[in-house]
Amino acid sequence: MKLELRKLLPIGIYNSINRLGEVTELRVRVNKKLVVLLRSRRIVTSYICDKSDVDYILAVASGHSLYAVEESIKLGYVACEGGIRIGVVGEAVTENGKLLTLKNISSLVIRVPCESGRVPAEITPIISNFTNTLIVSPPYGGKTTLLREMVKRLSNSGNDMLVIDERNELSASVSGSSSLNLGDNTDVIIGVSKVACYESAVRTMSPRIIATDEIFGKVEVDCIIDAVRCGISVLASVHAGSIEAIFSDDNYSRLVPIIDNYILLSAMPVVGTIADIRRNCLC
Amino acid sequence: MLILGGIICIASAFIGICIKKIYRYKMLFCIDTESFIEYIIREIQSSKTPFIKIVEDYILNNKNDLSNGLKMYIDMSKSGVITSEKISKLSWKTADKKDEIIVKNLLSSVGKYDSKTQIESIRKSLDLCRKRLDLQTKKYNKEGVMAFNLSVLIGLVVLIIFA
Repeated sequence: MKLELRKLLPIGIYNSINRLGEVTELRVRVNKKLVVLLRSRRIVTSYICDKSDVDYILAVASGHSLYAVEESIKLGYVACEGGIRIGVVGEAVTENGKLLTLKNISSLVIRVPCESGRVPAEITPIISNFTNTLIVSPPYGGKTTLLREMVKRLSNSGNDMLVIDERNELSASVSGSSSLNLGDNTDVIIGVSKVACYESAVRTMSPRIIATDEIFGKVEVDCIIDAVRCGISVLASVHAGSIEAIFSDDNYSRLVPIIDNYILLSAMPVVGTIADIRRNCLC
Repeated sequence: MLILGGIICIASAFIGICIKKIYRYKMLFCIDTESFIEYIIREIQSSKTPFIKIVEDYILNNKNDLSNGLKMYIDMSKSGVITSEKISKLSWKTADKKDEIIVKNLLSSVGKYDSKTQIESIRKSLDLCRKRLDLQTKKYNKEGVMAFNLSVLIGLVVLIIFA
């Protein structure tokens, strides 16, 4: 088990999962059984989580400073050392319809990043002659892991990469430096919305390729189209059940003219399985 | 006899100095606590600095009894989650028990809320601390100085008797 994950867990949860193998995700819900996801299976343990487990994890994750992570809590997550990301759900505190914070947090999803260290053979031609690429998969399909590995390969091949890591998931930066290897020619912007940093990053960093995870909504699609117009290549991922879902969606179908490669991932039989690769879909 | 009287006089004055110092240290502890709490509020308001970092920086820049106790708090944080039970075991050499409780309550409450609620809660500790500082200052000026004067006086009386 990763040391960072071990530090994060209360003893009851740690004992329940200690011998299970490589954990990729944990679901902690108050008064419910602990659910563990491994690379190839899902286990419902007999351990019943309680509020103190949730409080313990949040205390460690925030460095005993919940106020220091309140902005990310508003966005529904807390980023921790080692690239671990905790999704949080609780009672929303609002003022004039604006979300101020979450209180009484009752459910956590702890996601542990994987550094596979390898890129599937099918992907190698895309990397060696890189053009705009979209990684498509439903949640828990292995998008981020593949994206990270592709960034590393592209970077080490001499491409100046700019990673827009809004949720600190790709780089797992601690105090400004990446704790996960993203290659020798990679610059990382952390914690800023994609929209906020596209323009300034393109001007100041002059990247050859921009990489970003989980594009969502019209504005982010607009930003990607703009970046490509500027002559920058894009490597991005998006949540979708199939490549057709991208083609048929009013918003995401706008990417079709600029995307050259689509990689569809599946969680079956194991997370990160390549289900389909399509190239030059316009032709 | 005169020498014995002199020794007793000096010893009595020394005891007086020690008693005055105790009052002074208690007052200083409150002054340090007040500046520590103000520092926490500034750091949270301006940059939402994580609490452990705030405490570490304070210890680095301040060598006093408060920071000695806070070092134990940092050690606790490195060994896992900090609980109220663990915090209750902290102690300071020079502090009054009531002043210690203010610091312990502060350490127990920090880090559990959003910044707005957190600052409100810390301000309550600051108010309490200021009240205690007023009290300790009064005690020092009144009882501490009086204890010193009294012990010097007793010493002189003894000296005169022995002479």
